[in-house]
Amino acid sequence: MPMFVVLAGCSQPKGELVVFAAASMTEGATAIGAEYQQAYNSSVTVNHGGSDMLAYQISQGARADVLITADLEAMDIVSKRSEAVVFATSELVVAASEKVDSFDDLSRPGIKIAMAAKEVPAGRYTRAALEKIDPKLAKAIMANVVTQEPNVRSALNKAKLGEVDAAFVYSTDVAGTDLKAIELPAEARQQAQYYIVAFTPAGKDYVALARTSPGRDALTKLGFGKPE
Amino acid sequence: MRWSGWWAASAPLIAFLALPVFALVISAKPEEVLAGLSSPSSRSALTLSAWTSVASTLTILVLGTPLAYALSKRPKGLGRLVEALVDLPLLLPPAVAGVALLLAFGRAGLLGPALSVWGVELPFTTIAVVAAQVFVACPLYVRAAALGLAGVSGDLSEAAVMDGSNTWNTFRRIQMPLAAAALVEGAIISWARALGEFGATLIFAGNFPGRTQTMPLAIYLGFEFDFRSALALSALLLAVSVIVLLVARCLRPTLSFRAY
Repeated sequence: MPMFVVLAGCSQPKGELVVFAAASMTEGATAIGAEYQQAYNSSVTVNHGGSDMLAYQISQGARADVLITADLEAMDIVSKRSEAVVFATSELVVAASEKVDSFDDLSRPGIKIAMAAKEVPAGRYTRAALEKIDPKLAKAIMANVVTQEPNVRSALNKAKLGEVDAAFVYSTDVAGTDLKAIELPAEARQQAQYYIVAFTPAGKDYVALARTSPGRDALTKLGFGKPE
Repeated sequence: MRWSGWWAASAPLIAFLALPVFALVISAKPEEVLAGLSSPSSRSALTLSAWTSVASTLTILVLGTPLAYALSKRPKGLGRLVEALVDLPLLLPPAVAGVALLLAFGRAGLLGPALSVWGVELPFTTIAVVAAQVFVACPLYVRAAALGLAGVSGDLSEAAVMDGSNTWNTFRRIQMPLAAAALVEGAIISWARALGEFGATLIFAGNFPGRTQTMPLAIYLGFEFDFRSALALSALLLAVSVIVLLVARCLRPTLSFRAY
């Protein structure tokens, strides 16, 4: 996971766009990047990781043209709360192996669950969801959580490796794996909203692409929803 | 070159090491460090780091000393392979080490099913934290100890054997005391490595406050959330480590002497 990007400003070739994208938006950002490359004839580099970590790096001087986070709180770190706009949505689901057939199965003793840490949007969404269900069920599920990963993709990986039986991830993450997606109970449904903000004029072009047809279509194909 | 010339030549590296440490120390405000100390999550991270690193070092001492002794004989053939194996954890990126541990000892790993039969599941436990630390830190002890043991004059051991000593006694009463300084030094640096271990721990043991969230993990996650408190924790970890290292190094001659 390329969490630490060494960006010595002087070595940045002109015309290269740098996008910092939340881990779960990696493919989405890359797809939009392909559209950008076609439209503006400039290469795009996508650096992915936990939303908070990426925002923190930018706040400490890392050079980025665009930041994509998986919730609004991460935008506070770069003080862009008012400028950030929602451009895609996803849903929090449970990626489950054969041992887990329903949401209630998560509370069975012996089941191991991975979730994202509270320092990451997916972790915040998961906690918010657990607050909305029956407290006894929530407690039993939390007791089965064995790890709080630094980003949602590493939680997914633990489930893919078979080291945990289920992981709280985004619906768009489950596609292409052997795991099945179990929806959360209606009262606990969490829609993840992806926010995007530009730091440079070139970044603004990227954002525009993300919010209009070629970018929109690429996102829809990947399973992301439209913002309301 | 007069001895002060050596210090002059060393100055660049010393400065390179000292400057970031100095910057870290002055950036942490005392009240923030105290606040960090009093928060339950950082206290549990500190306690977990403290006792897992000690447990790892003791494990390394017990398991690594026989290996160090074997390697000190500079064995050929298969022994060379073992030497390379011992060096491997130093070369592997810690994250790769973590994945490898998972693939070997994880529930779905090579040894997983066998361990499960005994009711043992390693990943995401505190034992896994110790395991990850032992994996990455043992080369440091084994190499230092092997070098130290190899440095003990063969004549002394031979003289002991001629006087009727068996291998174990020769080791215990001649070689180990004479190599004690190297053994203690090896233990100190492998403890330091175990304390700072992050990548392998995160992947093999996961991150769970109180159970597997060591100080380095807490600091890493803390940076995203609360930069200032993470800085304070870093300064705290630094201070604790420096104190222990200084004390251990000062005690080294005493420890070596006691071994007689």
